Amino acid sequence: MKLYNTRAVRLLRLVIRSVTKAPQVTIPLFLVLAAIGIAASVYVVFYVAPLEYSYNEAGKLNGSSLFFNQKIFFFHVAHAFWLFGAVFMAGVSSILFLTDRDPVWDDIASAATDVAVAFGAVVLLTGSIWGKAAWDVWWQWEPRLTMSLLLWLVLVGYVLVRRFAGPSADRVAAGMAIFGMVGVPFIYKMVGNDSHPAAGTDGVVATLGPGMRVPFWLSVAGFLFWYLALVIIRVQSTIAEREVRELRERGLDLGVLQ
Amino acid sequence: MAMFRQAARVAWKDLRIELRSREIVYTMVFFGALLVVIYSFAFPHEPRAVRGSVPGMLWVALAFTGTIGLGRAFDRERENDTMRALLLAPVPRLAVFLGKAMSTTALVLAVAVVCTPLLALFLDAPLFAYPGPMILIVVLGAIGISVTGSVFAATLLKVRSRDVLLPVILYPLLVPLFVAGTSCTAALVAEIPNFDAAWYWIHFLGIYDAAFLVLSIWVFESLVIE
Amino acid sequence: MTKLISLWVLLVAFAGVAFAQTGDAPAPAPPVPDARKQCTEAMNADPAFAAAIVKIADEKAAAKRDADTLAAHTDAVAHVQKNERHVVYAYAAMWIIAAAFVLFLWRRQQALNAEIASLRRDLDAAAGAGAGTKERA
Repeated sequence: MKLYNTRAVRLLRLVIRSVTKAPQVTIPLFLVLAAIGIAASVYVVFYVAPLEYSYNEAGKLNGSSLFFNQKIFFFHVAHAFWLFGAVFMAGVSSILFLTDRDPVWDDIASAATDVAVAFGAVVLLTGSIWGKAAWDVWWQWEPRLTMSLLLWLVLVGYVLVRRFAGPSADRVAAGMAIFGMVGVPFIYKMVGNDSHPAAGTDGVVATLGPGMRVPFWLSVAGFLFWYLALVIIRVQSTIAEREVRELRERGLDLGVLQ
Repeated sequence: MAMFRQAARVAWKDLRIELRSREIVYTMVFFGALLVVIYSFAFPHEPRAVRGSVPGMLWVALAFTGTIGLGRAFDRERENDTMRALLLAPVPRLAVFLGKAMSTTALVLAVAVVCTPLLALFLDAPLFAYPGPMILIVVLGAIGISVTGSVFAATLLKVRSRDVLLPVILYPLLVPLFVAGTSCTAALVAEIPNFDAAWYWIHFLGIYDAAFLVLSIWVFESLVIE
Repeated sequence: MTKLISLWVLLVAFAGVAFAQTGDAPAPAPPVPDARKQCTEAMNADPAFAAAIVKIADEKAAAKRDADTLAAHTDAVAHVQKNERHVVYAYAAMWIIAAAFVLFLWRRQQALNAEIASLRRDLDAAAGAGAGTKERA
């Protein structure tokens, strides 16, 4: 199956190459977009989105309302969104890498995973703080937190394998990313979300009150640009590493280095 | 079909070597038994605690011994440099991989056959109350561990620090398997066994095994390069 | 000196507790006349009286509802003020992790750039000085 020759894949490869090979333009561009997006979402989340509270039947305030703490939700879920996005990005990229061994796919996979580890840490920490606010415990084995933790463990394993597995690390890590990506729906079903396995538009977003959907999607969009900016920055490191390796090999060939 | 027969032949080769020296199976089984003994000391024996902790004990024992078995099985190939011979043999590489997976499954099942009665004996756990679903879930679990484990053990054949990297790679990927196994076992040993839950998890593990088997078959060629 | 003071404090405390417990038992309550029956009969006898009572009851209920709403809103404000810190913690965690990650990437990039520059220098020097010259490793 000549996957690497289909038009879509060739176009994708072209886009990625042009974006990563022009860091002086693309990095500031994405950072500016991210700054605008995050600033706009912060404003909307804190000044436009309504406060979340409710009254119970006796007319008293519902003690389990989150009030101000609900604001955590917006950037917690935005990060979680792109955590999953990164996992799929790394998985698809790894599949393409294993088919044609073009280093650009490997760059994207390892960059996406690194950024996903950082985003995952944010998701887990903010989720735990939110849990403390909502349920008064720092950790709960509730579905979303559990899923994020398991995914994060797969990603950390990927990073360790890349670092310590020697010359064929890219191959092994690619295999791990693919298996990890395929495992995501199983983890989803496993933690108790046995309704639709599609994108969680019934779990999380549907329970949002009126007036909260726009801030939510706005924050998701803002953090998308932040995620892409981080991925491009991280790809520069892999490109630099490859250049170091090539220069070293040339030096060894010339007899200059040992 | 031919592929399956060739895979069975590779598996039988491994098992015959194993039967002669019995090195891996003895060490795996003994390690599993040791784990069970340690658990017996580490956890309380009252019935409620036992019902809660026995599923975890069984599956942790399977996980650890499975990793050891995988490592040893492929180490043996590398030490005797027979991996190249296997790959040069006129059988498709897929048959080699499937054969290795099958022999590892047999080894893990051997450990389960020893550890489950031991657990039932030492901790007085009703693991054999419903043998049908119990056997099914353990067999499915062994298949899952072996298939995914064989892919990565073969990939890591020539990689340094492979002994520590195999668990690092394997356990996060196998978490759904362990959760399914322990949940099903827990449902079966509970005071009022929950058969709906047990069959749900058996189905879940079956689909998981099928998905990862298909994925391994697709990805195996690209990952394992000699 | 402290021991003496503490001893006196203890004695005074004991005395206070003993005194509080030796007060007279409360007198038993006098029998309650059937006030409700008397009131209802008076109300039914004079309709203007009944209307006045109902009006006062309604006004009091409205005032209570207003007071309740005000109390609920004040409650909500108190809750929000109490909850601010979690949001602050979460935001802090997010930005600290982001900053740490960017810092980590930055330092790695700088190290790699430095290494590339030094390797290039070595190679150029070697190429310039002719092949076969063994430079420092």
